[in-house]
Amino acid sequence: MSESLDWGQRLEALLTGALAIWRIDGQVERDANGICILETEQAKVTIARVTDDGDPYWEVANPNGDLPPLPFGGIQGMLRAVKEAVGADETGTRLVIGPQDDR
Amino acid sequence: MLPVSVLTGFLGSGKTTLLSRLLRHEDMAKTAVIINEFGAVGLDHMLVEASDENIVQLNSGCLCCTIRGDLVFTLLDLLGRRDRGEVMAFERIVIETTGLADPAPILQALITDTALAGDIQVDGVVTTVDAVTGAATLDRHPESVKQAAVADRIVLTKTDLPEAAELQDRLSTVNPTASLFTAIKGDIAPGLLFDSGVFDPSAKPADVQAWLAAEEHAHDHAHDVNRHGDGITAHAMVREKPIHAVALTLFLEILAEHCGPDLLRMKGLVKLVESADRPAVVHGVQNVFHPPVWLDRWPAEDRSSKLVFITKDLPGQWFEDLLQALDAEVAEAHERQR
Repeated sequence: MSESLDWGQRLEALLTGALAIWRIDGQVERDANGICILETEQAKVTIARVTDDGDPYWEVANPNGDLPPLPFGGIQGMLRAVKEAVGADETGTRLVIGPQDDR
Repeated sequence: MLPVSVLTGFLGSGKTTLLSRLLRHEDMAKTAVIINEFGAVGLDHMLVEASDENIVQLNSGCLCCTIRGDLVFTLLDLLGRRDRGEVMAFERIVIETTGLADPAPILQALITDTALAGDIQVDGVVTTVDAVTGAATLDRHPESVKQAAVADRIVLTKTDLPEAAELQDRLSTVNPTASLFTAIKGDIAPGLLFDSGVFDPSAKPADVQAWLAAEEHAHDHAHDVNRHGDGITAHAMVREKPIHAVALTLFLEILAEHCGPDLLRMKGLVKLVESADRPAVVHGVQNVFHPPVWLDRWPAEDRSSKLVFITKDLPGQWFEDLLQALDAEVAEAHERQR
């Protein structure tokens, strides 16, 4: 990915790769406004970077579902929400760095 | 701190022969050995020629399955006995695993256990591969592929046959960051396998270069169709622009959360915005990372960040896309706060 890509291009690449990481079949399309539509057999999700007022944030919505659009302050939360929306298996775990008392 | 190495390799790959030969070397004189054998009656410990008092047998099951209990207890007990003068004042520990062991949870336990922290330093994984049967073993037993993928040093045993060249190429594809050696009848200098400083290279910055030299090899193979079907791919990332520390932390968190056990190993030399003259060495085994080590200086003129990922069939381009996006997001946030 080039450093000069806009957020729509970055988002499309991120989501396309994420589907492969999650081992889920699906496709990602980007509209003229940079909004990405991710579609799998199970779900259709739209993801947008909103920059209207104040700090930018990510908005994840399920246009065919009952849930209202959810805002996320960063990529980490956005990816987690999309993963949940497409029903990816929970294969991951939390990051552990060095000695831990609570493991 | 006491270096602890993990010696692994599939059944019959020559671990015990290698260890037995190594222990005869004067440089290995002050070595304690933990031998993990599967089954009630151990045998390997009888085949290793060394002082009995410094060999501990673990027969309660495979180490990677009982790691929190037996291994940590055994290590603590061994350290205690050394401190009390009950055993020789050893200066290194080698853990020989069973032939079916997954070395990842063993490494993770060594990195994360608080009771061991401060006393031991992970020295890396040495994996033996039988040059005669190694290719067939890699084909049939995913455990053996993972043992090679997680290794820091791979020792090709039992041969100097020409066929070994093809196997070496395959092993370099599975794990381009591992140094590859051959040893006939276990004959190899201990210095090639131990004190590698892989996890804490601050004393040996030149060694960082050695495993990052793998970056070129990983590039060669990043888009290679996996002709052996090992399902293991290596991907290297080079980045000139420094990375914000927050972005690196988020990156590692997301890898743990989304890649899980499919990210077998990650090694990197990272140029951070906050510490551009002192690169950070990061080292991870699945979701568990060794605390970053800051080098006093760059080991070479090249000051770009280099990261190598060994994965179970994950798309390497995603790592680059993710890190760039996170760094751009953090950079924008910093900009808005000014």
